[in-house]
Amino acid sequence: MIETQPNEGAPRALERLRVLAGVAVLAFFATNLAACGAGDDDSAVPAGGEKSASGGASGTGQTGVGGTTALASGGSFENGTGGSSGSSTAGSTGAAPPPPPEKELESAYETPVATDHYVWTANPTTGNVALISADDFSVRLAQAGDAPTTVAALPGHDEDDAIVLNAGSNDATILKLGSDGVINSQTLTTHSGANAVVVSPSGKWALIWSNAALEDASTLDPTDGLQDVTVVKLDDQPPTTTILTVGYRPSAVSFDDKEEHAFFVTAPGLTVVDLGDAPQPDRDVQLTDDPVADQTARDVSVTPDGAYAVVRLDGQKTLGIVDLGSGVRQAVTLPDYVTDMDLSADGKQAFAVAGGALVVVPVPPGDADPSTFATASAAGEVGRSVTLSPDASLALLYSNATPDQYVGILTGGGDWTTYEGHAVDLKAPVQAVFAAPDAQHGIALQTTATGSSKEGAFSVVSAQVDRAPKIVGTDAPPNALAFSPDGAQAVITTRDLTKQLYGVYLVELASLEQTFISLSSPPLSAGIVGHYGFVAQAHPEGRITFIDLADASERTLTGFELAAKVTQ
Amino acid sequence: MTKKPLICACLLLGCGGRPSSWDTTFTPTDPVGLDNAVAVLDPTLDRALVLTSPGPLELKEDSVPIGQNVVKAQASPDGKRLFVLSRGVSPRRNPGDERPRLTLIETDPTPTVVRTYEFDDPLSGLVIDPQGEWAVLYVTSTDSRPVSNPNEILLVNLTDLSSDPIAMTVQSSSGSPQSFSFTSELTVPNGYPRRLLVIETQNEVTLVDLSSSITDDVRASRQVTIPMPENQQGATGAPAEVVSHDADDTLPAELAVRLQNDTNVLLLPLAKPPDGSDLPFYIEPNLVDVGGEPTTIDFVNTDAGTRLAALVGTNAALVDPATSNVLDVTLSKPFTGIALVTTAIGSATQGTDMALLWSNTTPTIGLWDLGAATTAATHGLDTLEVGASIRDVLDVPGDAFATSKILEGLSGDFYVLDLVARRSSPMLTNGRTFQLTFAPDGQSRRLWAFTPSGADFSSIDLGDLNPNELHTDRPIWDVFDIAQSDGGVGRTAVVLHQVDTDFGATLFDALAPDTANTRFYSALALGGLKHD
Repeated sequence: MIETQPNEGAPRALERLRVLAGVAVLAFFATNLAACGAGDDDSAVPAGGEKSASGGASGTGQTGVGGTTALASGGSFENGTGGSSGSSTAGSTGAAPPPPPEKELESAYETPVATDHYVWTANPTTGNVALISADDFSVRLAQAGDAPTTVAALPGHDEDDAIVLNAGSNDATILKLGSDGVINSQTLTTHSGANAVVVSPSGKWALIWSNAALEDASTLDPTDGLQDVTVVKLDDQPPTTTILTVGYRPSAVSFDDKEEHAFFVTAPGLTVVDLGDAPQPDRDVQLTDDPVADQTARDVSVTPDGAYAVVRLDGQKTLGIVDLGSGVRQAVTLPDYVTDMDLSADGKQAFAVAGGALVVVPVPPGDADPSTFATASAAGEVGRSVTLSPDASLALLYSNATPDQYVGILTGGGDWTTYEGHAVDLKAPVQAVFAAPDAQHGIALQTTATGSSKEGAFSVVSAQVDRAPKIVGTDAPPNALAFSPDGAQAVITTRDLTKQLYGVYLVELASLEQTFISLSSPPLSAGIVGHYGFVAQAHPEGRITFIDLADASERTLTGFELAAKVTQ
Repeated sequence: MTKKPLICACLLLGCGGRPSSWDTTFTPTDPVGLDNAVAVLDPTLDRALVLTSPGPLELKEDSVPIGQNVVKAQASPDGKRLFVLSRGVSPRRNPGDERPRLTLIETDPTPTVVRTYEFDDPLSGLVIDPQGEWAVLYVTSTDSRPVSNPNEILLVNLTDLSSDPIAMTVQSSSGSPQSFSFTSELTVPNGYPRRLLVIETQNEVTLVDLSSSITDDVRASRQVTIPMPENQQGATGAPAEVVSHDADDTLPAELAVRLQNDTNVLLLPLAKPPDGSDLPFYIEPNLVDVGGEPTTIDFVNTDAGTRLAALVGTNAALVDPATSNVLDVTLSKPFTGIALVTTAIGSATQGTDMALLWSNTTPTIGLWDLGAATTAATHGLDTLEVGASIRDVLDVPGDAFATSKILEGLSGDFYVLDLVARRSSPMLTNGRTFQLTFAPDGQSRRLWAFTPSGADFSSIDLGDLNPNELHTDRPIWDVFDIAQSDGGVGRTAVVLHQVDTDFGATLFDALAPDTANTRFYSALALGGLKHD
């Protein structure tokens, strides 16, 4: 199934940066991706789909149109220019209908997780967590609780530590691998029904919560609010836990820089949790005028300092900026429907995609006139989604709501008043695009091109205007991707369950060369540990393949679960 | 000294005290061939009749006592020792009732019991180490008792006959021993090289450390048990074959397990144990899918390094133990058996192996030069058509014909293969199922082929491959080629006959067999009569 997340409210840019540290991103595709979304009409796409193959543009920030909307106390959006009471669709009356919503396919898959030297992977069936050394490929096994499902690395320690969420026993296990090779564990009681764990960047806090986005909504009772959260203070010895209540059905969480607050994006709004010595909910913040109607298509990002939340709604031309301290909401009206939005790493800029162009919105916008916002576009590509590099110097525009084989490559920096942009024709519909950590390259994962005998494709694009993209047809659809921390390599897995074709590509980004390695079982996820890429695969006894990033040599370990059963 | 006992003894003798063998029915077990003797067990009288040949066409018979209720007799691989396992009196009701025992008999210079091992519970399973260093006694399904420990074994150190058997229980959660095998000496990360006893149960493989540097208590307690993984059908896996390979410059010593009804093979490297551990090694299992259910596996040295070769259909999967990478090599024929012939051919100096491949489904054999396995277009395979599918391949004992192999065909024919000339010479039979036997030391340079219950048999000179047709006047029970016990180079072919209660033997000169030059001995169960 396509993992569209129309109601994802996660602050995606920050979430990606925090969880993946710019290293690993994963995407999952169904075999019928190409069929999905077909037939939707995007009036912005030229008839026939013919676009400029490589037309480039450079220029300065384009002036926009439309007005700034300010948020009146009381909470309803008002038309900023006219001051009349407005609706949430202000600015769209009489205009073309909004484009179909984009699919968020860059979501992170949390297991396995890599620490400095180990890959940690949990087996819910056996209750074991395997620690696989990337130094010597030795395997250690630790017993967690009942049905460990989610593993998160614990940063900020000299040791390789992790926390494991045990779905079956309503607890979590902290595993610490000592220098003597001994694994010490501590068990923490959590609330019932937890399915996600997030650790603060310093490793001081862990938030164990129930992510509504991971649940099948059709199986949830309306009264299943998933509102319990277990806050773990990891620097206490032993770690202490506090169970709190947040808003109805949380779907994303983040910390502020100082790790004094945690922010839960919930169905009705956003719950701010005061971490402190005695963690407690601080306040609930309303993000939109109509939290009941707006919660299904909302995209929320919280700035790293925890001062603002930036809110995008599908089918709206406005971007909401919410002061989390005062609760004051400000609406910024952009020239067209805002189809995607990412925050820069420092949270100072929101990169909104409106009408196929990138609009750089300062956060907070203050009294700035939206017409003065820097705007960037790539001739030939009407992007609906954007992917930013960690330093926000590379923006990749694309669209997956309807088949679109073009990617717009925008390079800027700073305030983006100057930029370079060009579009490339990747020959096959783009499903997701990822920017390398060094902002020098991007990788697009694609579905089958018309007339192609391939089951999928991926393309490597360079930020350099004068480098052609490398297009690679694949015998199975690509399903996961991870970059090396320096952006020099990437691993891309492919999977066709029907044809039982599985593999992984090691891509040298500088040369755009790729090496294919066949796998004998379905890849589940990919990541980087040390100087190896790794691919976790579906296998009853556990299977993982390591790929040396230097020479593409591989080593597969299978049956490490079996090691737990060996009596020796 | 009183004269009464002497008088009584004389009276008893005078009353016709004749050997008890005259009053009992001779019901021997299958004969066992030794280097210089043939042993026939006579369970009725708890004795082993050991036949030796002190000179040309000469037969000497010795009666050696063995335990009561014999269940198994087996020769050591070098033919120097005979092991006889007996159950004793069961149940024991009197202190004098014999216990279960293992009787060890040596035949040089004369047949003698050199050690008897007694134990409490009757065991009917016996396995002898091919290197002759260990014996294992174990429980079989015939050892029925009210309460039974199916994992009870006794380990006998044959290098120190003064030592007592080591009693231990095989560490198994749900199975019992189905097969025993011994590795060669393997290098371990922590300690001296050592051999391992490999015990296959229904769903596990257990390793017993045979090192002389550990105590028997440690040996018994420090077993390593590896459960088999589930197969693709979700059934608990079962071991089908275990092979081993010693460490080399790049790889640790390793065992590999072929699994029943499974496309995976299980690699078991003897890895470095965790820091601080006093274990000699640490098993880190790794499963590798070889693309189909292999019929056999073995470690081989290829041009790319050490690989585990798994024969799968018409392919050989070469598994790199270091990486688990699998290279499929097309062999064009569905070979089902593999045997390394590197030493026989003398190509070991190149560092890569030569393997003989055969098939029980197609009349083709292959000589596989593994030095070209991963690079050459032919993968180094040279095939040779033979007249039948091959059931088994036999080595020719001794050094004289090290490059020859005997191929046993499914049709009853057999073939003598010259590995160097790459020539197969058929030995056509008249359709009956022949049995083949050699001298244990190969000194007669001959192969003997006979049909049980027939009167004709053949001797094939492995030098010129000419069969020599031979005949006896009585049905053949078995044929043995033994060294003469006079210390010379002469050899005797002992053709045993057993018809009803008549046990006899016809002797031939094994170096120059001739039907015109034989001697028949009859009534061997009664002391023997020589017939010139």
